[in-house]
Amino acid sequence: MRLLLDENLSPRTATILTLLGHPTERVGEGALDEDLAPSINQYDAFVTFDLHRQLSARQAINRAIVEGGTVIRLRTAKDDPKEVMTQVRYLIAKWPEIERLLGSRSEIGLLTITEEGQRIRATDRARVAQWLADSR
Amino acid sequence: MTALAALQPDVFHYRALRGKLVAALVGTSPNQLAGWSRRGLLESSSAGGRRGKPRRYSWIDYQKARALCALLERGVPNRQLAESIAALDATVEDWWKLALSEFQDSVIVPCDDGRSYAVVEKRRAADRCICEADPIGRRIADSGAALALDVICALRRQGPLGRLCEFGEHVNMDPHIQEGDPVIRGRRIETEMLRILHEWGTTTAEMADLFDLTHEQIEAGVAFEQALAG
Repeated sequence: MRLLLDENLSPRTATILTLLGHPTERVGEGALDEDLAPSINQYDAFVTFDLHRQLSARQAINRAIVEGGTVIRLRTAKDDPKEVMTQVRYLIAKWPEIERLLGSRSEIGLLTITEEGQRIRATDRARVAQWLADSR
Repeated sequence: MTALAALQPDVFHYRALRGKLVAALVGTSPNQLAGWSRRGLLESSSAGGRRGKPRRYSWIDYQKARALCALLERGVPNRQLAESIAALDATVEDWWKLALSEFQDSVIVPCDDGRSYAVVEKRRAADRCICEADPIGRRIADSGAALALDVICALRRQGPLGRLCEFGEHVNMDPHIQEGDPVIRGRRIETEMLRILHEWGTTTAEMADLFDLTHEQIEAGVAFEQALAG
């Protein structure tokens, strides 16, 4: 898989994913949210870290999903520093499972890793489209 | 218009900013913001206040909240706040954009109708410029417009970070980047991420190495978050 990492994930994470066999690039410095959508669609998945946002609350990224992109979202519901690092480690350790999920159903547009890395939630593109429509 | 085109994000109206963040930058309480929302002066997200779903505000509402504080500081009575906000809208179109860093070098000039004002790049303003060095009241007979311009100019001078404008060299807010959350200027790295790593014991040098940032950027980001927490 070719991956695109948001700038809020470190270059080191990109290096590890590349070493695992997934060529990974990072978003350009200070890229605008609305410029992400076309970039996301050029990769197999876009990986970003969400701090405190609701699942339905990222318009630009949700729009990229509706347009056919796939997003892996690391999310911390609690303000817990340990959880941030746990989720990055989880992303790497559980990569085969993530790949299997994405390969199993093409309608999956969003994978959210939540609750201290214990759960992966899959969301269909149609659901994300509904979030976008509801936010108008 | 295609269905997808209809989903184009309007970053200025989209309610992405947490109430706690807006309150801290404005210098008021989340309850005060909620009170202004109930009066129709602001529009928070419909899920506001529910457990686990913090009330959220758009960029426009963030600027309106700043304007409301500025109006109160200038002695505008509570009952006239709605009217005064309407005067801002009537005086300068899209005045809420002026706090963005990209407008720091713009100026406000009178329009040909003699009543409203427009924002233009400094080099195009010629001698029509109304800048902070030129007392606004001297040129404007309408006291409502004079007050509106005074408030708008004050917000623009402060920039996007409101009362924490002293961090503006290294920290920025722009609704086009991470939906307006405070980030290191020119990057997509949230200051909140730096605070979380700092609290976990990550050193400035480690963070600088991790994200390719300077020590000044890291220290400013963490100090900004500490000031937010107040």
